[in-house]
Amino acid sequence: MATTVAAFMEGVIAKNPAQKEFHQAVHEVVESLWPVVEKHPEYKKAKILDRIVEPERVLMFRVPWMDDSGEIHVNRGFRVEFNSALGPYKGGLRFHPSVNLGILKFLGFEQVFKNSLTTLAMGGGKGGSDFDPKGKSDDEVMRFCQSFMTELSRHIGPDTDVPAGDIGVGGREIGFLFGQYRRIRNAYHAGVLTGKGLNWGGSLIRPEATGYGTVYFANEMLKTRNESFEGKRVLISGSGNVAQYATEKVIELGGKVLTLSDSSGFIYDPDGIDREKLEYVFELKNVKRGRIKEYAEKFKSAKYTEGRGVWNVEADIALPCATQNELDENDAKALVKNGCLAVAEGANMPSTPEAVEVFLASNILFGPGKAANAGGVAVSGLEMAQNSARMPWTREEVDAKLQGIMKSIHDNSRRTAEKYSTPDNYVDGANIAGFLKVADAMLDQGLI
Amino acid sequence: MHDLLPGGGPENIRNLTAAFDSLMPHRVHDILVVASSYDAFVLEEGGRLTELILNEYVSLNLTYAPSITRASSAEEALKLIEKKHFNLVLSMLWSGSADAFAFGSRVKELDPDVPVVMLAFDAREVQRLQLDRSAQGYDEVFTWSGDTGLFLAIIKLFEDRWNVDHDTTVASVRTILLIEDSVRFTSLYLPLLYTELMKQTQSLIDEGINVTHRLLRMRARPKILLARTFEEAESLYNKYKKYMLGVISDVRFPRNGVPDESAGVDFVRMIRNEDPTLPIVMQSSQENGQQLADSVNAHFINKRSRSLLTDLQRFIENNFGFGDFVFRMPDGTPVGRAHDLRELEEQIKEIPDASLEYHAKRNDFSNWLRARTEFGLASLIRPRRVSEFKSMAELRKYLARTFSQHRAETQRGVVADFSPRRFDEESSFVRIGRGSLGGKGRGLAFANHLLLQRGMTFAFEGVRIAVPSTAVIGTDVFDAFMAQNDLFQIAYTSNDDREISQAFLAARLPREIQDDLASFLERVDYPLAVRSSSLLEDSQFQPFAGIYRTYMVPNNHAHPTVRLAQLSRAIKLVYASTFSTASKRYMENTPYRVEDEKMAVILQRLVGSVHRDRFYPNFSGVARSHNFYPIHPMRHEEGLAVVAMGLGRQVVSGADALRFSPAHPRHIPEFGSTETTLKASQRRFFALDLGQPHLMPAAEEETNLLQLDISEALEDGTLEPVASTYSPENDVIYDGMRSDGIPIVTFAPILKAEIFPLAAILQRLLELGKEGMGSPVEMEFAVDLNRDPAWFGFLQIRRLVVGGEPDDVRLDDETIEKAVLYSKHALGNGVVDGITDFVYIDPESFDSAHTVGIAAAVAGINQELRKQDRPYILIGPGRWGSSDPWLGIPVSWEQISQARVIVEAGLEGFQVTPSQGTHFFQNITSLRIGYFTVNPFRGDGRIDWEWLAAQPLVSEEAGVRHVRTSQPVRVMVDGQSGRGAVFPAGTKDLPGEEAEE
Repeated sequence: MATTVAAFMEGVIAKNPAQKEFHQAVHEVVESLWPVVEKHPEYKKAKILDRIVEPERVLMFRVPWMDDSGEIHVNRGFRVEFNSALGPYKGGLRFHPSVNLGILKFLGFEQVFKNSLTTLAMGGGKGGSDFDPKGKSDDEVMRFCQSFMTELSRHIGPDTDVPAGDIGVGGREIGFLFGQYRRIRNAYHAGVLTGKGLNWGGSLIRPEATGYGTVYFANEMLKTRNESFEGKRVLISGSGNVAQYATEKVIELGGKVLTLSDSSGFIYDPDGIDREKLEYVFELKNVKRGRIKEYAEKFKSAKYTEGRGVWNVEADIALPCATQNELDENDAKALVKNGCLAVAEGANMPSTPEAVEVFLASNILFGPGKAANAGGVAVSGLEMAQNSARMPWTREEVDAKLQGIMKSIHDNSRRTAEKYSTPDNYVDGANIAGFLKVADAMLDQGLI
Repeated sequence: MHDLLPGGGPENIRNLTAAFDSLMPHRVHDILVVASSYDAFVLEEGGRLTELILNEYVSLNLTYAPSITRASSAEEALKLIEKKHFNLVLSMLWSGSADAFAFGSRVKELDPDVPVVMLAFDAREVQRLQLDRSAQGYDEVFTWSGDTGLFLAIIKLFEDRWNVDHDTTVASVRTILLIEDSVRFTSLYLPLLYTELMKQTQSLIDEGINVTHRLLRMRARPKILLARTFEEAESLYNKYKKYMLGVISDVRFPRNGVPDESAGVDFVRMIRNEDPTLPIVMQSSQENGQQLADSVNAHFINKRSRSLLTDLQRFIENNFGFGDFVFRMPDGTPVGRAHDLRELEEQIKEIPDASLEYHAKRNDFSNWLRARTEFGLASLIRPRRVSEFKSMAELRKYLARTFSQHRAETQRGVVADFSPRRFDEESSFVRIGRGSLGGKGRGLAFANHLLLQRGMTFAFEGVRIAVPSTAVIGTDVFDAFMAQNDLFQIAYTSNDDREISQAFLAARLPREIQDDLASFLERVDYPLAVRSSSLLEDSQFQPFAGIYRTYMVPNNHAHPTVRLAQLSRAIKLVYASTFSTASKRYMENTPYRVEDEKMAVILQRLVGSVHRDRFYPNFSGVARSHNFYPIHPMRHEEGLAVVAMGLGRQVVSGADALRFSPAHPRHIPEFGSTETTLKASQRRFFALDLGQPHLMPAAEEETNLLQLDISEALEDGTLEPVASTYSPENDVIYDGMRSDGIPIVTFAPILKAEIFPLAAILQRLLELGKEGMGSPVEMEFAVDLNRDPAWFGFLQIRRLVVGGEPDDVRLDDETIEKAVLYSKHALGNGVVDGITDFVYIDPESFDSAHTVGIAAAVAGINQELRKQDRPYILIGPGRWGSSDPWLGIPVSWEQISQARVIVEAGLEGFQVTPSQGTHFFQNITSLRIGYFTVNPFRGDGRIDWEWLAAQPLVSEEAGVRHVRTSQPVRVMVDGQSGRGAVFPAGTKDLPGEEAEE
C-alpha cells in the first residue's frame, strides 16, 4: 500500500483516468481517514483502502428506445455496484444528460459510507443513464424505463442490489421500472426498488423522514449536555419538506420555532410558530406554493425580512434546512456569539467549510448533514425491511424506527469521535464511523 | 387564385360595358394583386373596398368594374403574367423578402408595359425601395397601413395618368396637380384626395338621376396628377395648365436630382406669374412654411396639422356623384328614400302599392341594384314580371325575401353595420359608426371571415369555434369625439396620464354613438371586453402590443343607465390611452407620430361562465405558428402555445403558464420532473369580479380583475379539466384529480387524455392563419367548457415577425469564438453597427430580491440614452419584462425602449425559460430587436464579463453598470441558425466583409 495520501491518489488517478469527480471524492475520504488507517495495521495489511476504492462490479449497457414519432435513440445505462460488505448494494438511479461513469462512481463511493452510517444492512451503489426525461412524454419515459430495466433486471434483486430514485428518477419512473422488473422476473420482489407508491410497497413517513431525523439527531446531541428541545428557541431556515417537518417535530418536543425562510427572505415570529400557524405554512407552501413572505401578512406577530439574516436572530438551536452554502463564516460567528447550543444540518452541506471550522472551534454541538439528515436514507432501508416482512408498518412504527436509527447514528458517531478524535466532533465521528463499519465487515469476510 | 369582388363576375360586368366608354379609354380592367389572403381581406375590410370601387366605377359611370385577380406568391403571379396581360400589378409581398425585391424587375422582363406598384408594409423598407425603384422595376411605391382608400387611389392615379391627355382634349376634364416626393405623405394624400372627390360627387348626385347628368358629373371629375420632382411638376403644369383646378405642393422637393428647399416657392412663383388666382395649397412640416406660402399668395397647411382634411375639402369644390334610391308615386312625388340595400328592403315593406308597381314596371330596382354592383341580385329579379304576381302584397313579399336572403348570404363573415334589430348576441360582427376597424379589429374580422369561409365552426366534435360577438366602434367616432370635445391640445401636449384620462372622462361621446351603445346594451347582458384597436396596432412591424388599454366591464348592473355609463367610461379611457406617456414613448421608436394614430374600440363578448360572483373561461392562451425555442422533438415551424386557467391576463403578463407545442402536446419540457412541475405549474388565475356591479372603470384597468388561488377554482368546479394531483407521500404527480393529494394545474386531462381537442384545434387554426396571412401568425383564444358544445373563442390573430430578411448573415462556430458575447438562441436577423453603449446587471452583485430596484436603475439609464439617441445592448439575468420580480427584471416596455439588443443571461441557479406568450416578447420580435439567450454555465453561449468590466464606466447604480466602448461594436444575428454575436471593433474576417490585403 502507498505510504502517503499523495502516492495513494496517484495510483487511483492512474487507474481511473478522466474521472475527476471520483478522484475528488476518494481524495476527501482518504485524507480524512488516513490517520485512522495508520492506527490500524490490519487495514493496511489487508489493503482495505485499495479495495474499498475499487467498485465490486461496474455494469455499462446499451439502452435503445423509440420515441413517439418512431425515431430510435440509444442511451447508455450504468450500475456501479460499489460495496456489498454490509448488505445489498443500495443507491439511487440518476437520469440526466450529465451522467457518466466518473460521476456515478463518485456518488456510489459516498453512498457506501452514508448507508453504513445508518447502521442498517445496506451496501452502496449508484446507477443511471445519460437520458434526459425533460421534454419527454410519459410514454417515452416509460419506454426508456422498460428498456433500461430489461437489462438491469439481470443484475439486481431484493438481496443483491436495490436501486432507488435520484435526479430524474421519481415516483413515476420507479413505477415504470418496477413494472418491467416484475414482468421479466415473474416475481413480486417488492424490495428490489425503493421509493415505490404507497399502495404497492412504499413506506410511510418519507416526506417527513429528513426533517424528523434532523430533530431526533439534534435532540440526541442535546441530551449529551442534559438539555432538550423543551422551551428552546429554534431557528429553522428553508420552508420546504425538511423545514416543515423539522418544525413539526420541534413543536412536538416542546421547542419554539422562530423562523422560516425561502430564497427571497425570512420570517421571524417571536411568538413562535405553533401548530395552527404550521398548518398555514403547510397550506401556503404545499398547496398554494406561495412565498414565505405571506406568513407575515397573515400573522401580525411575525416580521418579514428580505434577503439573508436568519442566523442573526438570537436563539438556542439552529437547523439549517434550506440549501447548500446557506450558512457562512459570519453566520456561524453570529450563532456562537448569540449563545447557540446546537446546530444540526437538515440540508445537504448548508454550512460552508469556514462555518464548520467556526463551529468545531467553539463549544457548539454541530451535527453535520452526513449524519443529521440521514433520515431519508434510513427510511429507504425501512421500506426494504417492510417489503421483506411483507408487512407495512404504521406511521408510528416507522417514526419510532426512524428515531431509533437516528439515535444509533448519533451514538455511533459520538463513540467513534471519542475514540479517534475529540468527543464533540461529530464531523470526524460520522466520517470515521461510516468507514469503520464497512472496513471491519470487509476484514471479517476475507479477501473477496 | 380568387376573385376578390363577390358578385362582380366579368360576364355580368361586360354586359354593361359599352355606351359610356368614350371618356375614359384607358382603364384598369385587370388588376393582379400579389397578396396573402389576409391582405386581400384587409383590402376588402368587410366589403368596404367593393363599395368604394363600385360606387366609383359602376354607380357613377355605369360601365364596368375592374376585375381583380389575386396571386398569393411571386411565383404564382409571374405564371399568370406569362399567360395574360394585366393593366396593373400591385405587389403586397412582404417588402422585406428577397422575392419582393426582385419581383418588379421580373415582371418587367415578362411584360415591360405593365405598371408595377409596391405596397410596402414597413416604412423603413420603403426608404430602401424608394432609392432606386425604377431599377427594381417598380413604377410607384406606397406605404400600406391598412387604408383601403389607397388601393382605389392607386388604380385611379394610373387611370388618370393614362387618360388625362385624351379626356382633357375631348371634354376639358379638370386636373389637380399634387407635388409630393415623400412616399409616406403621398400614401396619405392620395386616398384622402380621391375620397374627397368622391364625397363631393356623391353629395350632389341625388338630384340628377338621369344618365346624361351622371355622365356630365363623370366628365367633370378632376384627374389627379402626381409629380415627384420639380421637373415633373413643371412639365405637367405646362401641359395641363388650361385645365388646372388647383395645385397642392410640397415646399421642399427634388430639383435637378437633389432635394431643394426653395423648389416649392419657386414653382408657385412661376405659376403666379401666369395665373395669380389659381388655388394653390402649400403643405410642409417646416416651421416657416406659412411665411413661404404667404409670400407667393398660396394657402398653407401644416403637415402635422389636423386641419389638413378640412382645408382640402374647401379646396376641392366640384360636383359629382350619385345617390339613394328615391321612391316616388307615379306622379313623381317622393314617398321614401333608401340609402342602401337594407333600407331598400325596409322601404319596400312600407311604400304604397302604387309606388311599388311604378318602380317594378320600370325595372328601377334592378337598375339601381346594378348601379350598386349587385349584379347577381339584379339578374335574379330582372326577369320577373309584375304580372307574374297575384298581388302587390305577393310582389312585396318576394322582393323583401329575396333581398333579405341575399344580404344574409353576403354578410356571412363580413362586417355589417350595427343595427339593434339584427344583432345576434351569439356571434355577430358589427361596426358602430364609420371609419376603420383598426388593426385588432381587422384581424378579428379576418378571423371571423376565415372561420366561416373554411367551415371551421363545427369542424371539431363537441366544439364551436367562433369569434365572440363583436362590435367595433369605427375610428370616425374617435375623430368626432376628439374634435367635438376639443381634446387634441391636451392629448398631444400633456405628459400626465391622469390629466389626460380626466379630460377624456369629462368629455362626451358623440350623440349618435350614445344611442347606438344604448341599443347595443339592450341586447347584451354579458360581460364585455373593451379593447383598443388603433390604426397602427397589430400591424406587422408596429404591434403596439399591450401599449393601449383594455377594460373589462361586468355589465351586470340593474339599471341600463349605469351600464351605459360604465361602457362609455371604458371607451373614453381606451381613447385616452392613445395618448398615454407609454404610447407616446413607444411611438418614438416607430416612423409614426401620435397624430397619425386613430383609435377604434372593440366591444367583445367575454368568453367564460359565471362561477359564484365571478366570471372566467376555463382557460385562455396564445398560440404562435413559430416556436423560437424548440426542444426536441419540437420544430420551429410547428409553433407553440401558452395556456393558463382563467382570463388571458395570466398569459400575456408573463405569469406562470403552460407552454407546449400543439404538434407534441405530451412533451412538456417544464414538466420533466415532479419538482419542476410543481415549480412551473400555475398557482393563481385571473377572473372578472361580478360582485361589484356599480363599479366604474378607472384608469387603472385592474379594478375589477381578481387574482385568485387555484383552490378557488377547485370550489368552483373548474379545476378538474386542467388538473393533476400531487401526492407528497409518493412524490408523484398523477394525471387527473384524486382525493388524496394536492391539485395542480397541468392540463393533463386536455393534453393527454384529450377531453377537449385543444392541440388539434390549435394546429389547424395556426395552419389556416398562416396560410391566410401568408406569414407566421400569433393568435389569442379562450375556451369555455361549461357550454354544450364547448366554446372555443377565437379572440385575435396577427402577424408575427420571425426574421428571414434578405440581409444574409451566416455565423459559424469559428466566427462566434471571436465574439465577446454570443448566443446559440438568438432572435432576429442581420447586422447592427454603431453601438457603443452596454447596460448590464453585474452578475457578481446580482440578487434576485432586488430586481425592482434594478428595473428603476435601468429605466433611468434608458431615459438618458434616449435623450442622446444612443442605442445600447442590455444584458441581465432571467426573464426581461417579467411581471414576477422573482423571475427576472420587471421592466415595462418603455423602460428599455432604447435597447437595440437584449441579452437574457442565465446565471447559475437563476435560469428562466423565456416567456413567449407575452406582449413584451411580441414587441421585441416585431421591432426587430436582437434578443439573445445565453446560459454560459450550460455551455450555451458566452459572455465575456471581464471584457465588459474593462470598458470605460459611464455610471453604476444598484448593480447596474453602464459602460461605453471607445469604438462601436458589431452585432450580427444569423436568423437561420439562431446564432447571435457581438464583435468588438477590429474583429477580423467577419462574414460578409472583404478580406483586406
